[in-house]
Amino acid sequence: MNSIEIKEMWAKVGEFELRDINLSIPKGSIVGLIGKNGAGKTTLYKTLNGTYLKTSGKIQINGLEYFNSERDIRLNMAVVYDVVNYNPYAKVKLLRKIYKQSHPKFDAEYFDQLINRFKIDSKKRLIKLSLGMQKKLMLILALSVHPTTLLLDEPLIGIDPIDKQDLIKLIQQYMEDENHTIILSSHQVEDIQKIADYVIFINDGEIVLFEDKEKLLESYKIVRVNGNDENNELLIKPVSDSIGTYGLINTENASKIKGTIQSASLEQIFVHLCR
Amino acid sequence: MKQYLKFYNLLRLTTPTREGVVYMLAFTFLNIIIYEKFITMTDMFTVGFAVIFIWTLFVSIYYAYLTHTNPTHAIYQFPLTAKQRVRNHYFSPLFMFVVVSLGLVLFGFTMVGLFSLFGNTEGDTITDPFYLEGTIYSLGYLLIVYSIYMPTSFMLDKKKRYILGAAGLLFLTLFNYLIVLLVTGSFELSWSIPVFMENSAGGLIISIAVLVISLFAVFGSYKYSVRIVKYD
Repeated sequence: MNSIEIKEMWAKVGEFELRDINLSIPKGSIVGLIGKNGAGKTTLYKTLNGTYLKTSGKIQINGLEYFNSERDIRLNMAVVYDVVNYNPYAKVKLLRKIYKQSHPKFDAEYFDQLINRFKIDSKKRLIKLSLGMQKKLMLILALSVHPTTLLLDEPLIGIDPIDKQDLIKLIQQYMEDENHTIILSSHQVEDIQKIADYVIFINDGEIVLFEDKEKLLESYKIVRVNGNDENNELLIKPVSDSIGTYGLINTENASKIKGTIQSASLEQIFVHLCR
Repeated sequence: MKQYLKFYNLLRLTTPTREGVVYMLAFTFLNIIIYEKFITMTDMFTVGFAVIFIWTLFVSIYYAYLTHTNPTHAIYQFPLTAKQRVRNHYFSPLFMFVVVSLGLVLFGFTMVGLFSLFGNTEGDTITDPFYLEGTIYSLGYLLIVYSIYMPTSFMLDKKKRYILGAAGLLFLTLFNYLIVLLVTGSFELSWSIPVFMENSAGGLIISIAVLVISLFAVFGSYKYSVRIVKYD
């Protein structure tokens, strides 16, 4: 069974609209969600989390739908947004108490273990923690309920490189259970390239691409040719500079063009496909 | 009760913002004015239980609106259904009213105790009249206010909230005039409704009828709110 199944989903929030979204995300996978600012990443998360109502189509999470299984969906799903939206004057220990009271799957022991590991003082108020600490705390809270589906919206922004590595390890540790699924959005595409199994490109409210990361990286190359060759039909969104022209090319077409061919990074593929 | 206390703790995670403050203040004051004009009629705007109830109602609506309009609110991290969220939000004004009232009663007793310890209160008595019909009517009326305004907690469309709020005020004014007409036979508002009720033969029946209608209104209001938030 797929962890997330979306069929022909449309969702309108103000002027912005997610259009005809189709996704089948297998269980046990890390999916990287990449898009420009305002492309619809957070709206997709909020729709998946049932806080924005879809206008049509179908969303199934672990085979369940919101209209009749909201409790079970929420029991097994956690979301970490790019903004920390808890009362800033709440103390860490209050959050622990509330989670313990209201979330049946909250693992207080695991939570304590993680906040000690990341040196988060439970007596401190959220406002007294640095942004990085706040984000770590949000991720720790999310992981402490042992969700089967975890939605992470820019979780690594504002975190120093050492802590970032620790958090990535934590995410990878969480993924050791084959039933766990993560959708992770980030502007730091190199992070996604490191850990994702699948990649989604979203642009202007539409899914441009949903592909196995390895297959995607194999499917495209970056080619550099001498002179101005911007009109070459084989090149995808070519760019000219002082040395010549470079662009993305389908691997199968790579032999048809004379130039220097290199592996394409996820970021390069994204930039050329979604520019 | 235990379930509600857990929910109340979740509401403590709300970050207060300016969103919904104007609505809260405007409709609190306008409802207090209507209540004072028809039911208390002191023109002194005293802080009675009804005023406390109206305040707690609109503060609860403000919090419910903040949680409902903010998709990143912590409440959505917990396994609650839309129906459970609505049900708990409906408890909030009642819970807050009881807590605030108990606090004020306790404060009152403390002050009386202090006055009697340190002041000369010998022979000071106040005879406070109790109007049974008026009290029942007042209770029913406040439940109608509660029924009208609670659904606005869940309306994302600001314009719709204000339209319903204003229509509610108009309805409440007309409703009060209708009661005055039923009790006195004219629209002349020479004294407050509780006094009219007390002096009228059908006062008790009318006040009980209003209370019954208000209970149906609460039920209808809850059903309507659930319909607003439900998933298709």
